Amino acid sequence: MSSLFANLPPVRDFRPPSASFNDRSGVFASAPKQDTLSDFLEQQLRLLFQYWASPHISKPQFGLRPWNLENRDFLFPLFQKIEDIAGLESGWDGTDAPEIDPQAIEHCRRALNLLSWLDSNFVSPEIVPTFSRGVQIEWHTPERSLEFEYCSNGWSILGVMLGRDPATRSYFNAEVAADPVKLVPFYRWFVNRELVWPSP
Amino acid sequence: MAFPIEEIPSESLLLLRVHKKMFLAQHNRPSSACFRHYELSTNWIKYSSVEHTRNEDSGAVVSVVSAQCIVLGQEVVHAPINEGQEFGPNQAHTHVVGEKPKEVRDQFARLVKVEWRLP
Repeated sequence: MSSLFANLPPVRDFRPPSASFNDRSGVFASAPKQDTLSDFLEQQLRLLFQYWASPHISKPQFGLRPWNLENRDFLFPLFQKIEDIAGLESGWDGTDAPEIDPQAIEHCRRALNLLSWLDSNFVSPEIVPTFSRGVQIEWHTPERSLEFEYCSNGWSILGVMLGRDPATRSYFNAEVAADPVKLVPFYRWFVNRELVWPSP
Repeated sequence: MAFPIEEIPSESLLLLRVHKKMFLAQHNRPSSACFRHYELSTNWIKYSSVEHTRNEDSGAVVSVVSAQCIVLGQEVVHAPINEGQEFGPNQAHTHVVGEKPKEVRDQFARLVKVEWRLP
């Protein structure tokens, strides 16, 4: 979440309360006092408004989910699916499929956390294991497909645009580093049906 | 006695087992991740069937025509597994051989036909 504010103007004399946000469960590890939390949220909202209002920053069109910690329940089935994949043992396909790399699992969680936080209309993706110890996150609509495959040191991305003729398809590729922020433009390409494939 | 290696006609159907964690039930198709292997294992329908191909972890059994594999730049090679070999005996065993970049895997995922899927 801190990377989302990386390009925002600095706020003087601002000190966030001493609370830590548990990225996995979506709750505060220690509850701050009500008045300091209100001040903190007010500051964050003001910064976000400045960000969204700025004409100089290209922003995604999808909505911003309110920072309501109780809205994270919809992610639980997704994270359960990830846990199931993490538990696959060597030979899970009946032959010689290797077990999944724990790093791939962790990066998958981070990516889904970030994308679900950014998109108020987040649609749960399909998540599958791969034969190269990785994890693949994918969305499919009649018009487009998007795949994020984590392997080794980063993400391998495939975008597919389907034409009116089902046999007509355009394919787009990208390779980006493990930082889940790198996935945002490609996710935006998919949900907003943008015509231009992002440059990595 | 070893199974003879045969030439597979272009119109032949090849059956592929899809693990239940790799079958996208909502979309009734396999994930493209199923088609990564350079030597993709399938069963030639001449010596196999859906029941013979699936196992307890299968989410679906899909089929693809041999000629379709060749259009995607692959080679279809009959590779029977004899008695005493690992995963043998299996006279139907066939490899779909070739590099499978992400676009090719996606095309495979779209053109296969679902012959059976987990209820």
